[in-house]
Amino acid sequence: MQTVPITITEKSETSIAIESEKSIAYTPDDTFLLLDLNAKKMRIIGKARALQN
Amino acid sequence: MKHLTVGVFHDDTIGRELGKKGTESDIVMFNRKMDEHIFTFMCPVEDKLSAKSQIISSIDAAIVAFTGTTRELGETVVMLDSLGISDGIAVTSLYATPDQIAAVTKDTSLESFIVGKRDPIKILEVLKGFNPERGTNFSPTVVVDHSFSVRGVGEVILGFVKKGIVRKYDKLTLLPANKEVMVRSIQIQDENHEQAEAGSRVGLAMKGAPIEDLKRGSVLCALTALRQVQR
Repeated sequence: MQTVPITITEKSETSIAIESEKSIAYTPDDTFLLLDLNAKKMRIIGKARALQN
Repeated sequence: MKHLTVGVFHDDTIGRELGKKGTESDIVMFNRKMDEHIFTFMCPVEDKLSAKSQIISSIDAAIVAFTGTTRELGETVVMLDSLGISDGIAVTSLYATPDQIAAVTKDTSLESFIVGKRDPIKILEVLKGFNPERGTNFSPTVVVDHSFSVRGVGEVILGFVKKGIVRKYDKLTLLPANKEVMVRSIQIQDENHEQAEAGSRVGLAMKGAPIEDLKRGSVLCALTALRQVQR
């Protein structure tokens, strides 16, 4: 699993858009885990599947 | 041989009771060859989140010691559930009875975990019964978790064959570096092999990319098997 910094650029009720300065390699069925390493409590924000690239 | 990769969480000592210590970084590996089974146990050091996510993305099954109700344990349950790990063992303790564990794992993929006491022999017997699906009919995909240079050999990666069969002299694409690389040799459990199937933990000597490009999380695959994006 690659761990790369990302920025959430758009949010809607069912999806988010992310940007990363680093490339991300994935297959269509891969799960993305969204982490906040600076969080004081739960560091896992959520999980997602890619809708489009 | 049947390969099984197992993550071990929240018990720093059970790994060495289950296998012989191998690679050590922020992830400690323990290996055990037993009858027709090869077990690889992966333990995160100090519960580092990036190590834990790497482990959870690599494993077939998990051993979770329910040693207390902590943030870290909650994270482990959420991460295992997020990646759909449903084979595993929940280890009871003075602080967690089977009923308490059932309450925590309800409606998660861990609901199907076998709950038992901390008994390495029984744990190994349970692990022998797990048969994860292997995608050997796909093009090869290898996920890198460690890499280093070896004098006289060159760049070496350690990782797991996630799909397909990787063969000696295969030409693969390294992502995200996007370079063509060649598999010079394959080792499984320190023995040379001509090929390695999905599920195998492998050491691959590589040609075609510098060590900086063979970082943890890199993927070796047949061209066009993966997407690569940067947005």
